[in-house]
Amino acid sequence: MLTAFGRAFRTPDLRRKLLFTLGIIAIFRMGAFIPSPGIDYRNVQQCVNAADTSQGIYQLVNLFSGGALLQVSIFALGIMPYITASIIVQLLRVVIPRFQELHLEGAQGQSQLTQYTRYLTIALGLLNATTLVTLARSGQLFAGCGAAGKPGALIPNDNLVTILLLIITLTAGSGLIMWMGELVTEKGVGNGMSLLIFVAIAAQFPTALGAILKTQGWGTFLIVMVVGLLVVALVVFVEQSQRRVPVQYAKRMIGRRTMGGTSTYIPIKVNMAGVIPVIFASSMLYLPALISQFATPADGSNPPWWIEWINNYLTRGDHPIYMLMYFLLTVGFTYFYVAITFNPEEVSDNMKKYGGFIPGIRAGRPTQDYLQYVISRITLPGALYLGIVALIPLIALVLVGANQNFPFGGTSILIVVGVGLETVKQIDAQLQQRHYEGLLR
Amino acid sequence: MVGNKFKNWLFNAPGVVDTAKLGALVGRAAARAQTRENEHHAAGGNTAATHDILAGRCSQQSTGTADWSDSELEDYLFCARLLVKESLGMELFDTQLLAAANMLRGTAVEMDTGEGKTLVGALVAGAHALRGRRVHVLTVNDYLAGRDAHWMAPFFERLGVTAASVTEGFEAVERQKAYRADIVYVCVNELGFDVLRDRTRTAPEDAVLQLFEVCIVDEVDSVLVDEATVPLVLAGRARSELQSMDVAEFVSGLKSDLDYTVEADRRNVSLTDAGLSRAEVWWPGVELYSVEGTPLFSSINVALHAQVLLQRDVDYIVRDGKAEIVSDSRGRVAALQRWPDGLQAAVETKEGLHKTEQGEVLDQLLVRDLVKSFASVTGMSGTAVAVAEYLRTHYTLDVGRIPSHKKCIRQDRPERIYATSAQRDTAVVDAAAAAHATGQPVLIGTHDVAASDRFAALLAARGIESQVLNARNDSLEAEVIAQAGRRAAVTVSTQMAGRGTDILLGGTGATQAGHGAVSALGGLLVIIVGRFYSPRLDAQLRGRAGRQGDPGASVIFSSMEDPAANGQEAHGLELTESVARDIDDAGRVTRADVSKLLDRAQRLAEQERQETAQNSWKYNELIAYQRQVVLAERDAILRDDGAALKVCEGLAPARIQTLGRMLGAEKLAAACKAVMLFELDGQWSDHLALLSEQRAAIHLRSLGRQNPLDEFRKETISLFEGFFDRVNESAAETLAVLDVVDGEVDLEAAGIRRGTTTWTYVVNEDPFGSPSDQAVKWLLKKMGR
Repeated sequence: MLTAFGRAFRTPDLRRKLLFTLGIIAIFRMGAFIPSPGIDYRNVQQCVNAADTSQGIYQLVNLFSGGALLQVSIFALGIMPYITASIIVQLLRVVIPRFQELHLEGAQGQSQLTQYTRYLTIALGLLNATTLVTLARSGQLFAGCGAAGKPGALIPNDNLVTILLLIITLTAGSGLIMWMGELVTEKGVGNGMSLLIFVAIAAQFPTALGAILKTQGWGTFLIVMVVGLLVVALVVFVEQSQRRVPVQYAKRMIGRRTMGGTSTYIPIKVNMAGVIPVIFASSMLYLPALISQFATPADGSNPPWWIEWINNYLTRGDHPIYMLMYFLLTVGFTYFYVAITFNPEEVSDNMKKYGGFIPGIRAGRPTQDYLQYVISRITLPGALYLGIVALIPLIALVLVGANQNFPFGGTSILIVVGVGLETVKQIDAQLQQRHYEGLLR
Repeated sequence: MVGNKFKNWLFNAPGVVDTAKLGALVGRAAARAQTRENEHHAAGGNTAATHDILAGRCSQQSTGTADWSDSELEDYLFCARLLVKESLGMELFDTQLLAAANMLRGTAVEMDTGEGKTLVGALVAGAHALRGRRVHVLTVNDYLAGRDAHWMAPFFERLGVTAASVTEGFEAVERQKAYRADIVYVCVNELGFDVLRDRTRTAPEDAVLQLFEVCIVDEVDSVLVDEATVPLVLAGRARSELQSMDVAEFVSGLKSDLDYTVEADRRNVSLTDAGLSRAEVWWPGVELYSVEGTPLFSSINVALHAQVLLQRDVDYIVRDGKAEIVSDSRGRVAALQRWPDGLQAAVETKEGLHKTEQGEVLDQLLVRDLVKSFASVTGMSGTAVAVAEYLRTHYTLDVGRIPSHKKCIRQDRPERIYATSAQRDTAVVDAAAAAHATGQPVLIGTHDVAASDRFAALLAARGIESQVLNARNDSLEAEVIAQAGRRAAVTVSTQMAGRGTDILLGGTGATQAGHGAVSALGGLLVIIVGRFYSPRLDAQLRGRAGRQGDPGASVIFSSMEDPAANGQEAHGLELTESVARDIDDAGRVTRADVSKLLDRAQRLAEQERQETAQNSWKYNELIAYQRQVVLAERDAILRDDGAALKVCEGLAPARIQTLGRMLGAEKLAAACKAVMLFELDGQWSDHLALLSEQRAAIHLRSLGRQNPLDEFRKETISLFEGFFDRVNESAAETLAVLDVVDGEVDLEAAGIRRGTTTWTYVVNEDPFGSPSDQAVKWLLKKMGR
C-alpha cells in the first residue's frame, strides 16, 4: 500500500489529484478548529473538559464531524447535513413519484436529484445550526455548562446579530463541506463524502488512544495497540472475502484460438451489508434510553418498574444484557439488510435476459434458489462478524474504560477500513492506467 | 473566483458560449470588404491588379501561429469574404463570418438549416490550412465529402491551399495522394477505417494517413454524440471454426410468450422454461446449461435474436442478396456495418441468403477516440446547443448559437396525439391530402423503411402520387430531394431526409417566380410520424421547412403506442379510463398532459443512449491504451527489418539457422517480420475476444459492492499481462512449423487474411442499482407500487 502511494506520487497527474485531496482534507481539518464568530473558545474548552461527551444523542453526530461539533467551530455541522439530505432524497423517492421518475431518467434526472440534495443540505444545515445555537445558548449542549447570561457562557455577547451571524456561518460551513466533498470526487481520488467521513473519524484516533495511555498506562496501551492491529487485520481480511459463483454467458458467438481461461463470476461478499446494520442497531438501542428519559417523572418521584429496568440494563454499554441486545440486533439487521438489498430473483432474471447462467444450473427458478441458498449460507458468518466487531468498543469500555469512539471497533473501524480499502483500490486502478501512458511517453 | 465556482456548482449552471462577442470584429471585417468592393466598382472593375493585391494580403495570413489575434482574424475574414465572392460567386452573410470567427476561436456553432454551414466549414478549413496546419473535414457520409470538396475547390485554389476528398471506392494510392492535401474532406467512418488499416499494414510505406492536426466536424452532434461510441471494427476470417449448429428450424417453430419472452425494450429475448424443454427434446442428451452445451445454447440465442428482434425493413433491408443494416439515427444503410458475434450469419440464414464468412475482430476504434486524436476539434450543426453540456464534459468543446440570417418564420404546430397508431396513420394521410390539394409540398418523415413504404401505399390508395426516399433507394436521393419542394409534391422519407439535405421551394433550379408561387402556398409542410428518440432528430426534420426565411410549417403526429413500439419506457402512457374520456371520434387525444408524457419517454430514450455511449467509451479507454503499447511494438518491427529477425533468433536459434540456409538472409528477415506481425495481431485479437467475454458479465460485480468499471479495468490489465511473452511463444511455434516450398516460405499456412466490417452492441450497465436503490425498490414493492 505504501509503495502504491510512493508510485502514485511519482506520477504527475496522480500526484496532482492526491495533493488536491490532501489539500481539501487539510482545509476540512483546519475548519474544525476555527471557532465560529461569537463563540468564546476558552469557555467551550472548559465545558468540554467538564462534561462527559461520550454518550448521548450527539455521539454519532460528533463522530462524523470529527469532534468539531462540540468545539462549535465553523465546520461544527460536519458532513451530517449532507448525509441526511442524501438519505432523505433517496427515501422521498418512495413517497414522491416525481423523484422516482427523475431517478430513473438517467444522468439528467439524477443531476436534478443531486440538485435537490444540495438545496436540502443547506436547509438542514440551517435547521441544525439553529438547533446547535439554541442548545449552546440554553446550556443543554454540555449538560448545563455555558448557558447564556451566566459566567463562562459559550456565547458571551448574546444578541440577535451575533446569533444570526453564527447560524449563517455554521450553515455556510456545511455547504462548503458538501462542495469540498464533491470536488474531491470530481478532481481528487476516491469518493469525497466517504473520504471526509473517514477523515473525521480517523482524526479522533489519537485523542482516544491518548486517553487510554493517560488513564491506563503504557502496558494496557501496548496491549490495546497489538489487539487493535489484529482487529484491523481481521476486518480487512473479512471485508475482502467473497464467494465467487461462476457465471457463463451464451449470448454471442466469439471465435478465438485459445479457449477457456476467462473467469466471469458473481462476487458474494461475506459482509454484504457493510456498516449499516451496526448503525441501525445502535440507533435502535438508543430508543429505550430516550423513552426512559421522557417517561421519568419530573417531580423526582419513583419511576415505574420498567423504567428502572431500562435504566439498569439498556442504557449502559457495559452491561451484558445491553451487549447481548446489541449483538442480536446487529445480527438481525444484517439479515434484514441483505434480504432487501440482494434480490436473487432480480439477479437470476437479469442473467437470463442477457443469456447468462451458472454452469450446471438451469436459468430461472433453480438459479434463484441456488443464489438464495448461497446468500443465506454466507450471511451467517457475515452477521456474526458484524455483531462481534460492533461489540468491541463495549468490551473495551469494560476492560480499559475507553469511550464509545474506541477506534478499533464498531462503526469507526468498519467505516475507516471500508473507505480506506476503496480509496487505495481506486488509486491503484488509476495508477495502472497511468502505467500505460507512461510506457507511451 | 472560488465564490463564483461555488455558485455555479450549487446551482448547476450550464454554459453556452456567447457568440455575439465577436460581432464587432466581424462587423469591421464586413464593412472593410464592402468598402473595398465599392472602390473596386468605382475603379471600373480593374480586376487583375486588385486581385493580386488581395492575394498578397491573404497569403500574409500564413505567417501567424495557431492562435488568431483579433486583427489577424479581422484581416482573414475580410479577405475571405472577397475571395469567396470572386471564386464561388457567393455573398457571405455576416452570420457566416461570425460562425467562422467563433469556430476559429475553438467554439462549435449551431446554425439553422440553409444558413450555409458548408461554406463556414470551408472558411475555417482554409484559415487553418493557410497557417500550415493539416485539416480534416469530417462529414457524415461519402456523398457529402465528395460534393463539398468539389464545391469549395475554387475558393481553396484562390486561397493557395490544396484540398481533396476521400471516398469509399478509393484505392490505397489514391488515398495516399488525397491525404497529402492541406484540406481533406472525408466521411468519419472512412477515416476511421483508414486508421485501422494503417495500424495493421505490413509494410511501412503502405501508410496512407498524415498528421492529425485540425478536425472540423460537420453535423457535430451526430458524430460526437449519436455515433461516437459505435466501434469501427476491422475483422478478418476467424481462425478457429465456430461450431455452427442448424438451429434456424428449431427457432422458427417457437411461439412468442409461450416459448420465449421479449423484454419491453425489445433488446433482449430469452427462452422460457417451456422453450428450454422443447430444446431439450429437440437435442436429446445435450445439457444446455453446461460448459459443453454453451456453443449450442449461444447459437440458439443468436438465432432467436435474429428471428425475433431484428425486423426486415426496420433494422435492415435485403438488397442484392445481402442483408444491410439501416442506421436508426440517419436512416441510411450503414455501409460496411455488420452485426457482431454470429448475428449477421443468423440473419442471413433467416432470410435464406448466402452466408458471409464468420468474422473475428482484429482491431477496433471508437469514433470518439478518433476525433480525440486531433490536436484541435471544432464543428457545426443545426442542433448542437441541446448537447452543449455533453460536448463540454466529454470533448472540452464549447458550443454557441449563431442567429439565423433571416428570421425563421416556420410554424411549428402543436403535436397531435392519437390513441392508436392506425388512427394516427389515417390522420397523417388526411393532413397530407389536405395540404396536397392546395398545392403545398409535403414531406412526411417516418421511422423506418417499412413505414415509408406503407405511407406511400396509403397515399396511392387515395390517388396521391408520392416520392419515397429511404435506405433502399438511396441512389435516387439527389433527384428526390431536388423535386421535393415543387408545387404539390409529396415526399415520404425516413430520417435520411433529416441531415444535410436542402429542400428548395419550387424545386432545385426553380425561378424566382416558381419559388414565390410555392412560398405563397405556405412553403413546405413537414409531417413527422411519431417522435424520434431525440428531440434533435425531430428538429432536424422540422428544419427542412422554413429555410432562409421561407415560409413553412411542421407538425408531429404521435400515437400513444409509439414509445412502446420504439422500445422506450412507456410509463403512464397506457390508454387509461381517464384518457379514454378525452378522445374524439378520430381517435385524437385532447388532453394536454399526454404530450408531456411523450416528452418524458423521449427524454428517457435519449438519456439511455447517451449513457450507453458513455459507458462504452469508459470501458474502451484502457483497451485503447493497451493498443497503443502493442502498436508501438508493432511499429518497431515494421520499420526495422532486422528487429523481427533478432527476436526470432532469440526464440529459436536452430530453426532460424535452418530456415536461413533454405531462404537466404533477405527472405528470412521478411518471413520473420511476417510471422511476428501476424502473431502480434493474432494475440491482440484474442485479447479483444477475452475482454468481450468479461464485458458481458462484468455488471454482476456490482452485486459484491464493487465498481464494474474498476473491476473491468483490473481484468483488462491482468489479461494483458504477459502479452508479449505469449506473442513470442506462439511465434516460436509458428516458426517451427513454417513450410518452405521452392525456396519460398508458405505464409498462406499462417494465413493473414483481412477484411473490413463493423459491429455494435448494447449492454445495460449496473442493472441492479446501489444498495440504497435496492432498499428503495424493496420499500416501493412493500407499498404496492
